[in-house]
Amino acid sequence: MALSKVDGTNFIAPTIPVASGGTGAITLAAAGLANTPAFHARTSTDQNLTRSTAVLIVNFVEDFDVGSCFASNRFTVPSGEGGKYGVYFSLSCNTGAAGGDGELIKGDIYKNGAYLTGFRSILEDNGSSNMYISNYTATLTGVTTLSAADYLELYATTADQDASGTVQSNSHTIFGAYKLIGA
Amino acid sequence: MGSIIKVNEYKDFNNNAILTSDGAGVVTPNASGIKNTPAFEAYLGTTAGITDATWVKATFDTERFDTDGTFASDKFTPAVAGKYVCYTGCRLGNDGANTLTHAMYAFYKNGAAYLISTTPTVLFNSGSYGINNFGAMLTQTIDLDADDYIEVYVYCDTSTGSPDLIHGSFFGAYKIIGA
Repeated sequence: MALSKVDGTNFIAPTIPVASGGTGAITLAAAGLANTPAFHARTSTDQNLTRSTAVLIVNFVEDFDVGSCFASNRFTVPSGEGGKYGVYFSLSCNTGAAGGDGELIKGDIYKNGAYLTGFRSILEDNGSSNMYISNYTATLTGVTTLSAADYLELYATTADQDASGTVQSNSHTIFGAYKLIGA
Repeated sequence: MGSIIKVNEYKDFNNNAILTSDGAGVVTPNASGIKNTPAFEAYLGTTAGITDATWVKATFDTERFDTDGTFASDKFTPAVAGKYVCYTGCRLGNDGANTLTHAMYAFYKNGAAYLISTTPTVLFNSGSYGINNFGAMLTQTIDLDADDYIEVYVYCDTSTGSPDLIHGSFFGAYKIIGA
């Protein structure tokens, strides 16, 4: 039988980066050869937002979380996992409870508590036209470099024209990220 | 103490190729488990008219790449189970009539809307002005079995003019490794 594990010193060793059972089906056993950490989460309930204020989106439920990187509505880069990450969100909002006269829907990614420049999706009128947003989904996909312990969150800023009610983010707003290999 | 083993091929004991190198440091992954494949991207080459105020399957008539032949008839069927980053960017218009009041698009999984609440949407109040066109991008990581399939559907409501899915709209997906 051929050797199945080699570490450079011993012919039989505990771990190699890539293992196969002889069938060509690969098992990844080492960090750096997988698009992980990776997670995908979506909100379980609607959330009331404060007018013209950046509000943290909460009530996320994980669809998957490889590497236990997502908790408390926050993606945190685990120790030893710094690198480039693909990041995406889809922030769904409605202005029904505010009278259907939305003038601003904005989604931002925050890094370590501050707006991550460029990671913004927005629809805004000039506040004096007759354009009334009833529903809008702000979406974004991008790549950013992160270090271990850096964290990302999703914030929403909204406004209605007559300040008469509350804009909501809808359930099933989504947020996800995954690590790029070798980038 | 560390040592070095120099090889140009890395195979398992049944001779299945895992990694190869050309001796100049250019490594080629051979095993499917260490590649972001299947992967494809396709786009719409010519603007296509669509039915007003109706969910319509989007067409993408030109492939940019399709590593494993998994995209056909405007449908992605991965053939390999796993988690896939699916992405699409669509632009909906109405021949410049500036009366577009409602636009949406979504992924459909096995013929049914997938997480419809996350669909990129713009909807204006009935008393609002309309707009000329709407474009946005949607990315979702979707867990797929080998025979599941993903399509893109679009919806466009306009009071005058003819709704269109505008050329350049695109759809792609790739498998993520180890997730």
